Amino acid sequence: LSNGHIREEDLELFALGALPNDEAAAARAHVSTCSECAPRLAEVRGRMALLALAAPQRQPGPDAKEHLLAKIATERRGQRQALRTDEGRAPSTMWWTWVLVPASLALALVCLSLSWQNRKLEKQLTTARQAAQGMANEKHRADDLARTLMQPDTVTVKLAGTSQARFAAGVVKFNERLGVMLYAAEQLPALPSGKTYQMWLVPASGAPISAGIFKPEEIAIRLLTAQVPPNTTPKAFAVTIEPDGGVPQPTGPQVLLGAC
Amino acid sequence: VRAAGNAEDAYNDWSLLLRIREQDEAALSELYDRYSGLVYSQAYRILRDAGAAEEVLQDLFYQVWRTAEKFDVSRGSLPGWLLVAARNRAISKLRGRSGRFEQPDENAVALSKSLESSSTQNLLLEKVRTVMDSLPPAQREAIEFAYFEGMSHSEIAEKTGEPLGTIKTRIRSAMEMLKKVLS
Repeated sequence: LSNGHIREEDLELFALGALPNDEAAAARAHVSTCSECAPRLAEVRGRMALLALAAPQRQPGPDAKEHLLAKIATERRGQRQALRTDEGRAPSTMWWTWVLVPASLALALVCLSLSWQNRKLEKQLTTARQAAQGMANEKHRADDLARTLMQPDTVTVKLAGTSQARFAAGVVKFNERLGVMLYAAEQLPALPSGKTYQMWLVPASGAPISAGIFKPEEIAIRLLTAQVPPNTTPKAFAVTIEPDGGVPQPTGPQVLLGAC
Repeated sequence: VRAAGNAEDAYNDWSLLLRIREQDEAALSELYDRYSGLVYSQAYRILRDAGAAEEVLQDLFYQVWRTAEKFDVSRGSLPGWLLVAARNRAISKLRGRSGRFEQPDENAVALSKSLESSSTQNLLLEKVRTVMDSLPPAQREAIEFAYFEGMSHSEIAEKTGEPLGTIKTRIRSAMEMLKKVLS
C-alpha cells in the first residue's frame, strides 16, 4: 500500500493474477472497500485485457457458433415445450371449466327437479297415506256398519217410488238403538238444475229428521250412511227433492217413501 | 466506470444485451461475430488446443446468454469483461483448476478503446503487436508468462531463474509501455 492505496504495479500484478495468494487476498479485500482503488483496478484490468490482442489472431471453427446456437435453440425449444405444456394445461383446465359449469348447472337443475319431484312424491305419499287412512277409516266404518247391520235389532224398510218417480225403489237398514242408518236407491230420475235429493227419517212423533243429501249418481254407485239421534223411533223414511244444500225440513215433492 | 470515447460502443453493446435479455438469438449471434475472434484467439494462445479454446468460447457466450441481465455496461466494458473472463477460464482450464468463474456484475473492466468494429479491432491489434514487438525479449517473456500462462511473479522468477524483483520490474515496464501506447 502507498498512502493507504494499492500501488500501481501491485494493481497490475493483481489484475494479472500474478500476486501470491495472500497478497492477492489482501488486495481483493482492499479494492472491495476502496472507492479510489476500485476504478483504478478497472482501468488496469482494461489495459491488461488488451494484452489478449497480442495473441495471434485466428477464428474459431463454424461448428463452435453452430453448437452454441444449437444449444441455445435446444434450450429454448425445451422452454417453449414447457410453456406449451403449461398453456396446454390451461385450455384443458378451461375445457373442464366449460364442461363443469354447465354440468354443475345441469346438476343443479336435476337437483331442483329431483327436489320438486321429491316434494311432489311426498305430497302424493301424504295423499296416499291419507287415502289409505281414509280407506282404513272407511273399512272400519264399513265393519262397524256391517256389525250394526248384523245386529238383531236392525230393521229393513223398503222404499217405493211415488208418482214423481214411478220406477224408483230403495231400501233402508236402520238401528234405532245406535241411531245408524244405511240406505240405497235405484232408478231415481235426473234432478233439475239446483236441486238435490234429501233423505228423511220421519219419527213417530216430531218433525222429520234429515238423514243427508245425495245426487242420483252418488246413490247409484254406493250405499249411503247417516247418523241420527239414537233411540229415535222412526215412523217412515222418505226422499224428497230439495234445493241444493238441503233444507232443515222437507219442502219438495216426495220421490221415495217407506213406512216402518 | 464508463471509458472515455466509448459511448457509442457501449450503446451498441448495450442494445445487443437488451435484445439478448429478450432472448433474441440474432443479437447473441451478432455479439458472437463481433468478439468471438478476439476471445477465441486468446483462449487458443493460452490452451494451444482448438477444441478446448472453443469450449471456453462457447461456455462464455452461453454465460452471456444466460446472465445478460447481470451486465451493466455503465460500470464497464462488455468486450473487456469477455476478454478477462475468457482468460480466467482458459487459465483455470490450463492449470487444471476448477471453481467459481467471475460473474458479469463483478470485477468491472474499463477499456479505453472501442472494440466494436473490425477496423478498430485491427487498429488496436496492430498497436498491441507493435508494443509487444518493441519489448525486450525478457520483458515480453515475463508479461506473456504472466498473462498467457497465468504464472505468478514468483513462478516466473523460478522458471526464468531471475530475481523476483527483476520479474516485477519487467512486468511493470511492459504494462507501462502498453499504457503509453494506448493512451
